[in-house]
Amino acid sequence: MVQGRTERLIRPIATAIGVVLALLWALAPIYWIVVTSLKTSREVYSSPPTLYPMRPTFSNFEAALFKSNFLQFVWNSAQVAIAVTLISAAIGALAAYPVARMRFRGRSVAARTIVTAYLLPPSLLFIPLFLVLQSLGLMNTKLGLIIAYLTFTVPFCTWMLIGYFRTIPIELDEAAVMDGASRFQTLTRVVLPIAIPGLAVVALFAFTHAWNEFLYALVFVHSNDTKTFTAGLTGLIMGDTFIWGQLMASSVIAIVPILIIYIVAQKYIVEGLAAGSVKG
Amino acid sequence: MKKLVIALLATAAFMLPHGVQAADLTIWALQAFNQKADDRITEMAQEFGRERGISVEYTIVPANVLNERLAAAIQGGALPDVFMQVSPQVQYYANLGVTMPLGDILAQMRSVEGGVYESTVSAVMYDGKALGIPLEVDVVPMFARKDLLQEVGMNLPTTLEELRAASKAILEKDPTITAFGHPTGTANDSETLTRMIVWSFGGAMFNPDGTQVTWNSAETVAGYQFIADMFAEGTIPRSTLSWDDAGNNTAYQTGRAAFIMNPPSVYQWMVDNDPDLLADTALIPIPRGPGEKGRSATMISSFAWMVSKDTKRPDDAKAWLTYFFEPKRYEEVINTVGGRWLPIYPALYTSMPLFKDNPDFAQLGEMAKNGVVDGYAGPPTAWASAVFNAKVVTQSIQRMLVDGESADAAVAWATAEIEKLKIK
Repeated sequence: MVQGRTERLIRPIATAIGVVLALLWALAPIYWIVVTSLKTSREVYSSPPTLYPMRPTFSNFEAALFKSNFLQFVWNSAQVAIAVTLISAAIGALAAYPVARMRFRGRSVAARTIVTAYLLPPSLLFIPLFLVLQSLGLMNTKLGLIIAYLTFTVPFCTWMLIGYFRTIPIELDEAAVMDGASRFQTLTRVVLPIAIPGLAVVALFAFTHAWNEFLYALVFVHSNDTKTFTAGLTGLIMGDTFIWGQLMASSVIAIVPILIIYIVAQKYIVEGLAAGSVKG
Repeated sequence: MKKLVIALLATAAFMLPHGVQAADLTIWALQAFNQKADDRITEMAQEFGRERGISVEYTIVPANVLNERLAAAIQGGALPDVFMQVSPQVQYYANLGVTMPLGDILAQMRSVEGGVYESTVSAVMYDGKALGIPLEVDVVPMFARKDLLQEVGMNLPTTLEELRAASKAILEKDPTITAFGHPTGTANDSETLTRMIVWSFGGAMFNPDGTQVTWNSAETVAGYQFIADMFAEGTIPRSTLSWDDAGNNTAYQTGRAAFIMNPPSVYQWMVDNDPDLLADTALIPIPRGPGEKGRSATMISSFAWMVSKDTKRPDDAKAWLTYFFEPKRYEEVINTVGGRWLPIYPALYTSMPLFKDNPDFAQLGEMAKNGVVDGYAGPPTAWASAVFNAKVVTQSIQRMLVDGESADAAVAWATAEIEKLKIK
């Protein structure tokens, strides 16, 4: 169909307006976080609020980086999130493969149970988990926090990978078996190398979940050498007193690693998500 | 692939962190409102541990998560040896039976010259025993803008009617101002500050022994009506319905409010950030309510130490409290907090330059002495705490302000709800 002149004119304008609105919607909170981190406490409370810092200051960053334990908290978060990511991707792949590829009784029940486990809200689970970690002697340890996070990242990774594995032609497995490969070899040498975009997506989501998690971090760890940054940020709210500048500077620092990872892995995310969602 | 797997496993092994050795004595504390004070108390705990030859873990828990943390710890039988909470919660933990009597520590403190502010002690008494130790006094004065009052030719208000008149005049001159920044949302501030207005009118929630509800009275209705009238005329703006606990702080610190009731955290912020606003501010007692029963009522509370009844180190736990409250050492803590905490010892209030040399703090000692605690006119009880936690008062205020109920009906509803919460 041939486009009319008016349509040719309106379409790019409408697209541009849509893009600008979407950008505003997505970036406005981040913009506000960044400019607040650069304001003095007096300016944070100025009325009317200023759209950009009148007298920019890095004192909030200085306080976050050098006068508090925030870097330690970020390091704790990184340790926990990386461990959770690796373990959940590995267990997720091992659990998803049989559900996606093998025929056995209870396969569909197993798949549904995995989703159900993921859907249980953390607010319901934190007291039972507390009891478990307490009896294992893992309270206030990063290992305990990792185990707690695996309760939601493993079902999530498994569910995502079931969908992804189903997009890979079964004939590849059959060819590998014909060549004498075992199930494990088929998984590690044939399926997983092809599933790298899918693995990248689940790893990224697991990392993001663990990086941003708040409730378990708040309840299960409390000392400076175990606390993650999300729990650490609450220390900047003292009753009715909010240390806004430092809160925002700390948030900016915490955004950086996840932002870099997303930018670097963007290609895989798009590929992995598209494959899993369309053919799952 | 193999190399990748090996590399990942090696990284995981490096990253997998190890357990933490449990300390001999575990202490959970609330924040002391500034980092320096938290650092100093943490240091003190370490010094105490060294002197006593034990390891001490002093953990600062943000106030907004302490309830959940303690709930989980109680469920798991892992309460810290010593923990800090706001004093009304002492009743709650005492009722659960998880804390031990600390009468001996209180007796030691009372024996210090001048004793302690006895007004804070009732909050930690349960069945005639001290189940906690108040560690400071929180008073709630009114912050008033002297410059705005001057512009309308009025003086600092001493009665609630004067407060209303001044608010009207200030609002007429500048319709953008929040004349009286009284929170009417569901924040804790709203629950506390509304009680203070009702008490100032002469109302009380309970009878003197705390066994009967007395909320439904002409005085309480008058207090509700006062709020409804100011809300209707705009001197308490509609935006206060959505305020959280920082709402009145923000309104005052941005220079948009003429009057607020708040603990001195706003004062400390002005000292650090806005000397001009500080110069235009007066800290005054809550204006008196009308009539014979009218009074200037401020609610006092405090942070309190408690000791787990299951602690394996009761002597060390109590020794920590003795160490903390040793007057010289304690004075240093209060100095570092910088006015947000009033010392539990009246003698320190009169001797410390922080208080005696600061005219802004001149009224605080009297307020600490005469303030009342939640549960007034009775003692603080688990019942009073339950009413506070259920936000019955703010709910009834919202029925009046949002749903259009009369003050009488809102008070009657609140009274019925308070009765329902009675703990047998």
